Amino acid sequence: MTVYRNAPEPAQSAITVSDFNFWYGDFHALTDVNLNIAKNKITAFIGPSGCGKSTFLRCMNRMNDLIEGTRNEGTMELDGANIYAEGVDPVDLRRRVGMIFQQPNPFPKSIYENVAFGPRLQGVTSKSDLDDIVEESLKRANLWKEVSGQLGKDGLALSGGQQQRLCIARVLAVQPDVLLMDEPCSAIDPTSVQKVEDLMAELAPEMTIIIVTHNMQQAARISDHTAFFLQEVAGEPATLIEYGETDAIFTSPMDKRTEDYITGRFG
Amino acid sequence: MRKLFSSQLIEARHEMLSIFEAIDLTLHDAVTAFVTDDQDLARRAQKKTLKIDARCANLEAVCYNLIATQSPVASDFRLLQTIIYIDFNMQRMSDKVRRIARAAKRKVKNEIEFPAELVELIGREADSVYRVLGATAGALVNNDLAAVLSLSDEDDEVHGVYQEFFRTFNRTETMEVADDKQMDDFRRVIMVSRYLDRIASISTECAYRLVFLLTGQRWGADDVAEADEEELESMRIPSGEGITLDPESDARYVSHLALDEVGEALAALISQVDEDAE
Amino acid sequence: MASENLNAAEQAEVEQPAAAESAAPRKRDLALVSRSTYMKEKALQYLFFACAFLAVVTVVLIFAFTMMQAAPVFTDIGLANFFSLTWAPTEGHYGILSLAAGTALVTVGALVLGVPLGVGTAVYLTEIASARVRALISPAVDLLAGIPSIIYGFFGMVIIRPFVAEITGGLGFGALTAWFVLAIMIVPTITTLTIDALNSIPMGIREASFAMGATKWQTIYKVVLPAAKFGIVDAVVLGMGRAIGETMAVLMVVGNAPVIPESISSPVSTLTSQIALDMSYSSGLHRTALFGMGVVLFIVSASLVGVVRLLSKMRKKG
Repeated sequence: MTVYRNAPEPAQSAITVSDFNFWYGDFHALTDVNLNIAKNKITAFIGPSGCGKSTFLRCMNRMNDLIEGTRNEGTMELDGANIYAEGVDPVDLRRRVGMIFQQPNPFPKSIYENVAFGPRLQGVTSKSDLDDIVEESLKRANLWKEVSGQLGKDGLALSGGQQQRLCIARVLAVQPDVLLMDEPCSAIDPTSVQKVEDLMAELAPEMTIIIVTHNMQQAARISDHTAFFLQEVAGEPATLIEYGETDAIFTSPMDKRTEDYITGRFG
Repeated sequence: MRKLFSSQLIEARHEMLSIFEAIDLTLHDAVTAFVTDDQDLARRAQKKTLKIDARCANLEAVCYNLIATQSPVASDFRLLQTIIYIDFNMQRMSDKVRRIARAAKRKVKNEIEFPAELVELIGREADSVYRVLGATAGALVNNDLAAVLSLSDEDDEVHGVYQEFFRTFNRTETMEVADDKQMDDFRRVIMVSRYLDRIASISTECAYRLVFLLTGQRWGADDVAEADEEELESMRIPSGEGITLDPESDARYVSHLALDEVGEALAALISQVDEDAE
Repeated sequence: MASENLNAAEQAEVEQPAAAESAAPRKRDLALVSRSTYMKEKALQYLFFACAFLAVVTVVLIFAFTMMQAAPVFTDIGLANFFSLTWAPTEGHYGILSLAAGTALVTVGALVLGVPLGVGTAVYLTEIASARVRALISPAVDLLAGIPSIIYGFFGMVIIRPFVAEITGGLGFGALTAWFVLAIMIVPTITTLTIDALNSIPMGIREASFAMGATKWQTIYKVVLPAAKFGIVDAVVLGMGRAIGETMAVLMVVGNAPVIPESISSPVSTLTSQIALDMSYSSGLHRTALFGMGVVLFIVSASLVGVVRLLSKMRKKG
């Protein structure tokens, strides 16, 4: 059974999840997850490798639909509407719920074209509008100062940390309500990690952010709430062990498994 | 990395207990020196407090170092916070012990009989302080929340003797003071009594921190006084390797405490330690 | 941060470590390269170099041989004649322009048909098809590549020509028929190379595109294909090379009329088919002219190879 430490109420939540189960083909990956993601706050998912936290994250923008043989039960609601309901358009959902991946993946296009990609998809054609959106997004992503003079430069010519911020700018250009980040800092250098954390803190008041991370200190530093997932026995589904205010979880966890994991005794 | 860190945590914990024992033993020496006018013993006790201060400063540095380099969380972090808090308070206690030793050193044997009652009261007060210290050690070694609750009673006992001391002093003050030196002695006796009272209070505060260590809740003295044992026990949260749970090995570091001053539980453990040592 | 030893405070003095009697370090000689190893390494080096060099030598020899045989084009035929429109060796006209035009016509048509077919197949196989469908189609494409060109010619002659004859009302020998045959022949080349190009694009950018709310088609059209453009152009250029150099299949369906054709379904001839046709019985200047055509083909292929290399250099830079 999940231990809750001052977890958010549905009324203050952007995403509410009830009795959520997930299968990869025959393999039952996640079982009976119940949690609410607080609106306009940062929530961290932690847990050892293979505990289902990335899987769960990818359910929130239905990216798992792209993999053959996946299915789920239970409800997952964005602002009160079930995202897995019959007839819901996953493509539109992904415009409202953006995602940043572990490996930076800018398109092999210019910086400008990378950021303008989303708005163009949405039908923005005017050059001046696009210019504004590109500048605004790059500023929010803490990248404008470094690239403002070279928007025509290829996205792949940037450093790893810059590429990741470019990916963030790209997502911000479509103005999502929720930002999902799957270990966004594991593949970039420490200075860039700092910049990404800073920009998360700046974005947080206007956007709900969920970050999957292996770095305990990062989760403790930046998140308001933390969820600890664990697959205790190989072959068994993973569960949500403890969820609530980050401070409570990191200073006085109530479940022994949480205590052992965050102090580094396993995982 | 964690194995090293775990052993460093346990080492820090043991050092804390060991310093606590040293304070208790040095207090014994200082009080004895005061009561028996043993200037030599007083001087030795004073020197010992300096060594204790150095150990405290070192322990504090070690703990901050661990916090900076190991990024501890949860029970590890609570343990380090607790050790630092207790370490700070031990420095306060050491200061008080030093003052008692200094008073003992400077006390001059007077022709006029120093009221025996006062000396006897000092002895009684000291005994109850030793019991508070012993109980604190017991609570820390055994991670015993119930012992923390009963500590306030022991502390009250010390206050009781302290107050009795003043009442007695008032009665004797009507005596004629022969000269400045006798006045100084009187003053010293009062201060020693005060220092003993403070030592007991500080020790109690250290014990209260055990509540934070084991439950994560920061409770003050009033909250603890009102709580009952069941409530506290139900608030316990999981402990990591630094906090648990090895009273037998912890007891080794306080094994020189007098058996009749520590509680039953700790006395049993110390006897066990002594037996194993033979 | 230096780690503080808990016992440091108790140590009254720091003890100096007793100076150890420093023994002189024992001398151990480093092993030198043995002569036999050295010789073996060198010999292997030369051996592999010789193999590689053979390729260079072969190309040079072939080119030299052809050039030598074709030299009289300059002296005895004259460039004006060689690059004229009339090919009538019996009358002394050795103009290859109509043949070159034939090659160009046939190649362009083959590309117009073959490139969309090839690229489309590649896109389907990498981006859209499920594993089961891919298991069916992929081997078929590979088999297509393995069919000898004479079989294609046979197929062209027996099946496609009558079909073309039906719809155009001629004999069916001509560019149109060649287009169909050549298009199918270059599809495997274009498809496999395009598949390689598409597969070399990391999965990450497709995921990124989907995660931003692009549909599958938008992702393919706006992200994947532009990313693969160098590889696709590569594939097209190599397909073009194949089309230009194809002899047998073309010979069997193209009609072999060394003139500028009136329509796409009237007979025409190409450089390659003309050489194949005439080589066995030609002599003298006729033969020289054929070698001249060979040199032209050689130069065209070499330029295509040059373009491909230039593209990969550009890809590495960009």
